[in-house]
Amino acid sequence: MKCAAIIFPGSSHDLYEMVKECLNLDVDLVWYKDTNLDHYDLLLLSGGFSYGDYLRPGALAARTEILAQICEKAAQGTPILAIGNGFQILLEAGLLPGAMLINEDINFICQNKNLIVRNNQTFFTTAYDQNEVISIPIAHGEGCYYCDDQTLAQLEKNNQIVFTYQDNPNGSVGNIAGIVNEQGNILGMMPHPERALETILGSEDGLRLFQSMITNWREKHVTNA
Amino acid sequence: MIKANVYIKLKKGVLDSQGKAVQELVNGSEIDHVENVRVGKLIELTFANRENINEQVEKLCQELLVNYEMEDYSYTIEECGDE
Amino acid sequence: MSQMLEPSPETIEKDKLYLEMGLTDEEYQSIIRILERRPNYTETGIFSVMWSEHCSYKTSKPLLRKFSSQGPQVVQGPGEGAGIVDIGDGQGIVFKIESHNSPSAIEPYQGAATGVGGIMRDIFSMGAKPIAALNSLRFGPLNSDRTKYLFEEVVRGIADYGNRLGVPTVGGEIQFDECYQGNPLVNAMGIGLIELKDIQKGVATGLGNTVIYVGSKTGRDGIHGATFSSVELSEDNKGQGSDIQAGDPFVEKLLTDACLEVTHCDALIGMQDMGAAGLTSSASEMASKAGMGMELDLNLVPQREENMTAYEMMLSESQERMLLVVEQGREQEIFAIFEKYDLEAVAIGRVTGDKRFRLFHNGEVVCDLPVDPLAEDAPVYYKEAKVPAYYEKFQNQASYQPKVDDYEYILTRLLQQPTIASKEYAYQQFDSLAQVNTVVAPGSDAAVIRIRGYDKAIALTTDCNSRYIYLDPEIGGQIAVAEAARNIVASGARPLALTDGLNYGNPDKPENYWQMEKSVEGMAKASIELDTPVVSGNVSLYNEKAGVSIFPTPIVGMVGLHRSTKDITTVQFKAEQDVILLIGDTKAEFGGSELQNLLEGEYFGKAPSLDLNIEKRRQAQLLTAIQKGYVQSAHDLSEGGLAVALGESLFGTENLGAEIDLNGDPTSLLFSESQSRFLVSIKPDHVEAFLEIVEDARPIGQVTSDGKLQITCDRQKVINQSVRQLEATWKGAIPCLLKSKA
Repeated sequence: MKCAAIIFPGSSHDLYEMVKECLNLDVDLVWYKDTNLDHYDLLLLSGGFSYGDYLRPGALAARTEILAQICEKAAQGTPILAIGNGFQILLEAGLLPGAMLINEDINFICQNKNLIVRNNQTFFTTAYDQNEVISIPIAHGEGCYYCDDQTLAQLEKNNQIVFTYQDNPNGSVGNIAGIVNEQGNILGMMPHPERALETILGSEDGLRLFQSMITNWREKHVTNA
Repeated sequence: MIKANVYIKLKKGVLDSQGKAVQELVNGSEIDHVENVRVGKLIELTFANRENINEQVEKLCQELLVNYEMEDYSYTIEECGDE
Repeated sequence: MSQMLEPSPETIEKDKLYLEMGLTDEEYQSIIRILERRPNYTETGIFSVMWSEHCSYKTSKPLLRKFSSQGPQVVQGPGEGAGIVDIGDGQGIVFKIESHNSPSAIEPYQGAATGVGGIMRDIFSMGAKPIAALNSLRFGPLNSDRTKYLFEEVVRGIADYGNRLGVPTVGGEIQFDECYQGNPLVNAMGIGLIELKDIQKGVATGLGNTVIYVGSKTGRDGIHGATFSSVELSEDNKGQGSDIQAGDPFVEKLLTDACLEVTHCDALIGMQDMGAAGLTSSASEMASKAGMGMELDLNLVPQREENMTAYEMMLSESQERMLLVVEQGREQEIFAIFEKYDLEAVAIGRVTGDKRFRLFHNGEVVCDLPVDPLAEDAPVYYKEAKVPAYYEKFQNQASYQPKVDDYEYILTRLLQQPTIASKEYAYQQFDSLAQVNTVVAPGSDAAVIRIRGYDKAIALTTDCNSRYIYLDPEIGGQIAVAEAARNIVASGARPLALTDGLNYGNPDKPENYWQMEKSVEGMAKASIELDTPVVSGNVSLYNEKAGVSIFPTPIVGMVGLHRSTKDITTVQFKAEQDVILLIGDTKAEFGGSELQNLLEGEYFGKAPSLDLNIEKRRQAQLLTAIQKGYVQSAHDLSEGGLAVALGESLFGTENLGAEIDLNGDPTSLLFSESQSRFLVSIKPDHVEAFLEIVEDARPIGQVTSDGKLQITCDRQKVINQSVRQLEATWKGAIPCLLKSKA
């Protein structure tokens, strides 16, 4: 499984470094100006502050050329994991429904948070139990997920809500922390599972998200072979 | 030179945390006639001439400046001198 | 065009225009002697910033000489952008603290943000990857609208800038005292990790090599910032007609990544941040250090505004700019790297062999000065020192004995004091977990960052109890260093070295200068005794408003090394039945204490005493016990004494409690701020072994699981409180003060 960690100006390298180190994934750091994503099996969109969060978080990155490629890969069913700012970029690009507002109490929040796994049947979550409570840090100033009632009903009906906050820190609609698209190949989430891979740093609960992806990818490709 | 002022604010019904925070502060001050505060943004676009200006401003709003999921916009056009 | 509007050299002398720029009559005359002519307007401006305290240390130099920067662990002492200590495996830690007090007093958000930006450029200009930031903040009491505004905006400024850079802000300290009401302090400490073979220096060697300007364009912001930060804040708090420096963390992030990439290109000769005094100081210092000269064509400098004069360009403090010297003919290799990051990089001059600093603008020579006098020959002032009357009085006072009847009430009140209360409001706005290496986040004695790929970590802290230093600068200075080292040791690391952020009032007042001299002597002594050499630092003088000086506030930023991540120790108690021990003696010492502040609203009497030999021994013994794996938790005793330390050791645990049994005067036992003390918890099986190593420890109780803090003194129960309730008080205090109306 060949992965691309796509980096925009201002993006963090954390996700790239952590999956490489803790999960031994075969991953390339792909600068946004390199527009050939053809040979990648999985795309990672990391956190950070692409374009300094100027205008709106993710708005400027979502208008760069590489987005056409990402959309194409998404349509082909390539799995995409988008964390923090990566999630904001995909919302701005319309690959996931909804939008992101400033946190309810205005300030940036960096904290460990309990999440509830609402759907353990996605490509990204099969190693978790349904309704399991996991501890994953959040770190964002604009992580208040917003969508209209109709979209929310749609998300619920299609089982697209993957993670919710046990104790809503930012005012997100429906306590939403992470969603998948209708096809289920794109996961966007505000919490940072790449920061929860080692006990020395406080939590290992993020590991199974990446393990789910690896296992599910292998299974699919072994049966196809 | 000609300038377009694009005003962007959150749609009605969307949580405006900044507006809320400002309002709380205003409510505690001696100015007590403010009923509602909304915080938005102003984007100034300066053009060399008037040609297709409405069309271009609309296009920019739709493609970049405004997020339709949560924002509304309006704009005005005015003549301006060299700054 | 605007060049013609500038006053002539004759007018500058006749109307003494140099005074407005911060030069004294004598300084101006010595410039004329050096040049053998009158300087023009641009040259006068250049001298004034280079000879400002901020750039030349003209007042503090005689004091800074008292510091030792010697030690086998020191790779780079003072003189470069930042100091470097060796952490083994060919790696070093680059660190420095810097003040941004006056910009923050005027525009707290941008002032604090650009403070973070500036210190980070000092770090990566050495070739180091920034891996952490700390800050040390001082404000007036949190009861005025102005202080609340300053506090909120400074915190937001630090968070917005540091978070966007992707550098974790992992701690520091925030204290509140009346003396900072008109003059808040914002000191930022930057920490970087470097492979020692990659160290870069700010030198302009090699005749004919190319000088390259990189980063944001130059505007009219912060002109005379360096001079301004070296004069007293005037009543109206306004700058001198220039624009506020605004930071762009997005550009800084790109600049960091690009400069680190450039470090690996051997076409690079030298690199320096355009910080205080901007282009002037970076260019002239790089040339002077190399024993060379430099020629710049100012028309090539990227400019944000029209019609900028040479004077404005040379004195601008626009942010996010770097100056590079690159091997002649290999400029394209460097340009290509910056182009990848969409950053502007322009050749603006070359290195010359004549030791002159020569500037061209619109085809004319607008400045032609000898380099060395600019960078190195600033005057040095030996100021008059005089023992202040208050000190004599305090030394002769009978020792202060507070009267306390209700110990529970006092503990609650102490936990609500902003200096002691939880700073979660601030810390949770910092992305303390960025880069995924933060083992101990803000709020502990020291922050801990693991070094990836190795079984080791570094401990980081900033410390300065300025109340003690006010009462007794020499002892207080020693305490500042000792307490920083104590914090490092409590986290399980060996203290390596320190950076000093010296913040003082007006040194022209002999009483202030005496405070400076004595506190520096105290710090120097402790730093030698505790083997923590001074590798970098910053001086900020004239911190006073309307004639009222701040307490002398020399902040100590310290770095320590955990030889294994197994040694990392935190403040919190870990398990029921663990034995709680107190290391060190408690005396009735309340001068400068939080209890004195609470009861009297002022500070007087003597500072707590300190014996550096005892301090050193206890630190060494505790560290040995930690390294042997005997210690479950460790916490240094500071503001508020034992009772507050017990609370802090219980907060954040899962319903643990403590039963403590003491004998003696409850007020001293609970609240005294005697030095060189630690609170530790040890597994029952290890107590004996622990006591064999640590001489001055004695058991005072044990950890329980009932969520209660119970303290008995001479068989009388003096405290019996729910930990959860105490914690809520401690956590809620600052948010509550911020919300309440003044």
